[in-house]
This record gives sequence, structure tokens and C-alpha cells, in this order.
Amino acid sequence: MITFSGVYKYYNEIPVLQGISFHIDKGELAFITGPSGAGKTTLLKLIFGSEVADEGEIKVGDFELSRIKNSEIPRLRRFVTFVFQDFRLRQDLTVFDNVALPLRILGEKEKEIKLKVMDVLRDVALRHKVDSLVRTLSGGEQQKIAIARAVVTNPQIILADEPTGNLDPEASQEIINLFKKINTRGCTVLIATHDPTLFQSSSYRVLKLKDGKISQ
Amino acid sequence: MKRHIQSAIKDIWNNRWSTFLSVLTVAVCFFIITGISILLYNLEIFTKKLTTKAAVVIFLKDSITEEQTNYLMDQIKKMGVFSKLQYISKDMALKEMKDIMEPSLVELIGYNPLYNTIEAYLKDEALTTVEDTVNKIKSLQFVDDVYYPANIITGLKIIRVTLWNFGIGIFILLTVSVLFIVYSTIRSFYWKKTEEIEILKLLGATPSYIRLPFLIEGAIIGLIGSMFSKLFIFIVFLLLQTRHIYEFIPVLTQIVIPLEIFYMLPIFGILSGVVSSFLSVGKIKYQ
Repeated sequence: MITFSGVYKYYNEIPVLQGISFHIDKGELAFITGPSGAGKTTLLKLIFGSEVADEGEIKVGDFELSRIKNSEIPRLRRFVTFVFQDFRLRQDLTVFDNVALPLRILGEKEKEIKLKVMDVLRDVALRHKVDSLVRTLSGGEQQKIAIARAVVTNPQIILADEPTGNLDPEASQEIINLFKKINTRGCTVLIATHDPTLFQSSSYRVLKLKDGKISQ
Repeated sequence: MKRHIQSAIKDIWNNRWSTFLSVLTVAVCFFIITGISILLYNLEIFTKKLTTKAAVVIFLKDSITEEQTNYLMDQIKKMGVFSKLQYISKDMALKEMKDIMEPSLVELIGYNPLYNTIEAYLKDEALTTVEDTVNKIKSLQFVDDVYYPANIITGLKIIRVTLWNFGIGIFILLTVSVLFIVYSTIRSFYWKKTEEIEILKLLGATPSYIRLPFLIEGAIIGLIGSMFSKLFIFIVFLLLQTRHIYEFIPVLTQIVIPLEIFYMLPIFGILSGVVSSFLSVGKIKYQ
């Protein structure tokens, strides 16, 4: 599903990723871990098409990211969705409108949108907050809304960059459980985190990044 | 599309004062553009009327017979540049002269000093080649001389060209101003929505999805601006009528207002709004 072959990325000639190679299978849940500045976010951005690799090949599904055109990126972002540490939600909109946004972009009918949004809000146990403004929710709730928005279009891959970074341990565990639940439905999940407690007692694959290299 | 229109209307409402100011400025520009268009349209009609009224006068040789006159008129007709030919014999000309001048003065001369003439009225499209036509006629048999009001025609040509250049210059200037006003307004809307646009990009929105509300906003500003300018024009004409200004400036009664302008104005408004919004949003980059 995701293949990196000898990928290099530099910022101002300083190497951030150095010859990274790995493969993530379809339906796999994996963690990328490492200290701050190890290159976790850069790696996720490369998969999401926000950054371009300076050397090497990246393949995500049918997308050859080393040669991807600007016009193809919207299609990639329907295939791969992203959950950010800072949620990136529209604070001026309600929970419903935030989760409905990707479906509206796809041009789905309001009736369909309503059904799908309510379904996904039930999964994250926030159906009762459907009409609340996002800014009135707690951090944990906002992250759940961000996850709901990421899964509402049934993407093949979900990327999460420090999704528990701003949350307390209890909320963090809830979020990880949510990703595990999503993964059981066949969605490939890749979570970047520096918090080892999130994957310590699990059997999921962990890619350790250090100084821009993988040391698993 | 419904969602995009709703989003555009919401944006316009949220920025109502800046939108109102740009609409007003666009309306003033369109008002001047329309005024200039009406002026040029009427100038065109006026110059055509004047130039077609100015006939080429062909003086014939004294010895010419009726048959030869008919032959000459046929030849001139065949040139295809005149809309009307009128033969005036020297006797008819003298009679006309007596109507204008004191008959005793004409009698004093003792003979008819006038010529048999043909008055030839030029077609509109032949105005530009009048000098060539005159030279050709001069070379014809039985023609003594040819007179045409060269100064009037050349003067009118110069005035017409100057006013057209001036009009086109103002037209371009104001059109660019309209584009710039809408461009700046939409640009400010765009900047206010930067965060929202970034989220849309992350969620896989296509460039056209992101652009469309802005294009609609530009179109609305252009359309309302053009409607306001129509309203201004209507008010000006109402004022001219109610204040009896026509009595002081009679030429105003001759002004023709082409209705096409009123159909074209909203289309022009929408087009300029869409174009400037498109330029304002620019390329949507994802990387």
C-alpha cells in the first residue's frame, strides 16, 4: 500500500530523511516513532503529497508520488486522509458541518451526507454533540471529530501526526482505540508519535526513526 | 453549485461594507464607460450623416450633349461608390440662384455663368477613398472639374479618430480599473479565508472547488455594479427630462441610446468580475 525506496529529503541542504526504505501492507496499522526532529512529520507529509522527495521513489496505492502532478493531489487526498495534532477543524462551524466537509467536496447529496455523518459520529461516540460548535468541545473531543472527518469518506489510508500530542493519557488511549477500530475495517493506519506508551503493549509494527534513518 | 452560491453570498454579507464600496466604484466606472460608448455611438451616426450630406460636385463641360451626360452618369454609377446621383442643368442652377439672390443682380451679369453639374452622394464605406474617386472622375471625358468638401471630410475624420482614440483609451483605463477593484476585493476575501482554504486543500478539494465561490463573488460584484450604473444612467435621463434641459441644449434630443448597451453591460460586468476573481485567486498549490 505504501512503499518507500531510498527516499531522501533535505531542508536547506540539511538531510531530514536519508535513504528511507520500507513497505506498509494494505490493512496494516503501524507506528512511526522517534524523537522530535527525527523526520516523522516529513515522512507523513511525503505520503500525503504536501512535500516532494528529493531522491528516491514513493508509491502510495497507484500513485507514484515522485512524479505526481499538482492536479492529481486532490485525488490522492481522497485516498489518503490526515489527522493532525492541532486538529485543523473549522472552529466557526458545527460538528456536523466539519465532518460533512469532505463529503460536500465530493458533491454528495445532503441526505446521504446526513446519514454518513451521523454514522461516523456514533462510532466516535459524539452523536449528541452534532449541533455543537467545534470551539466549545474539549481537545479529546475535537480530535475525535478530526478522526470522524478523516474516515467519513472511507479512505484507504489514514495518517495521524501526533494525534494524542495535546491530550491527557485517558483521552489518548481512547483515540488509539479508535484508530485500532478503524483499522479492523480494513483501513491502513500510520501513526506518528513520540509517546512509547501508545504502542508498548501492542503487537503492531513500529518504525523507529532516528537522524533521518529507520532503525527498526 | 448551490453550496458555492450560498458560500459566496455569505462571504459578501460578511464583508458587506467593502463589497458595497467596490460595487459603487465599479458602478461609477461602468457609468463612465457607458457614457463614452453612447457618445462614440452618436458621434459615429453624426459623422456619417454629415459626410453623406457633403456631396461631390462634378462640373461638366459646356459642350456636353444629353446623350453624353447620360453616358457619363452611367460611368460614374458603375464606380459603385455613390448612393445617389443628381443632375442639375445650368438653367436649373440659375433658377435656384435667383431664388437665393436678388434676381436683378443675376440679370446684371447678362449671361448664365453656371455649369451643368452632377451632385454625387458618397456611400459610407467610400468615404475613406474619396480622394481616389475624385481623381478618377477628373480623368473622365466631358468632366471640367470636380469639387468636394475636402476640409469638412478630413476635419471630421480627424475629430472622429481623435475621439475614438480618446474613448478607447478611457474605456481600457476604466476596464482595467474595474478589474483591479474586483481583484483587490476578492484578494482580501481570499486572505481572510486562508485557513479555511488550507483545510479544504487538506481534505482533497479541487482547485475549481476552491475557486468557484470567489468567481461567483466577483461575478456578483460585477453584476450589481453594472446594475447600479444602469440606475445612474436612468436617473441622469430622468433629470434631463424633468429639468427641461433639452430646451437649453437641443442637441440632446438627437442623442440615440443603443439598447444593446443595456444588455451588454451586465454581461460585461459578470465577465470582468469573473476574470479578475480568477486572476486574484491565482494557482492553487498543494505542495
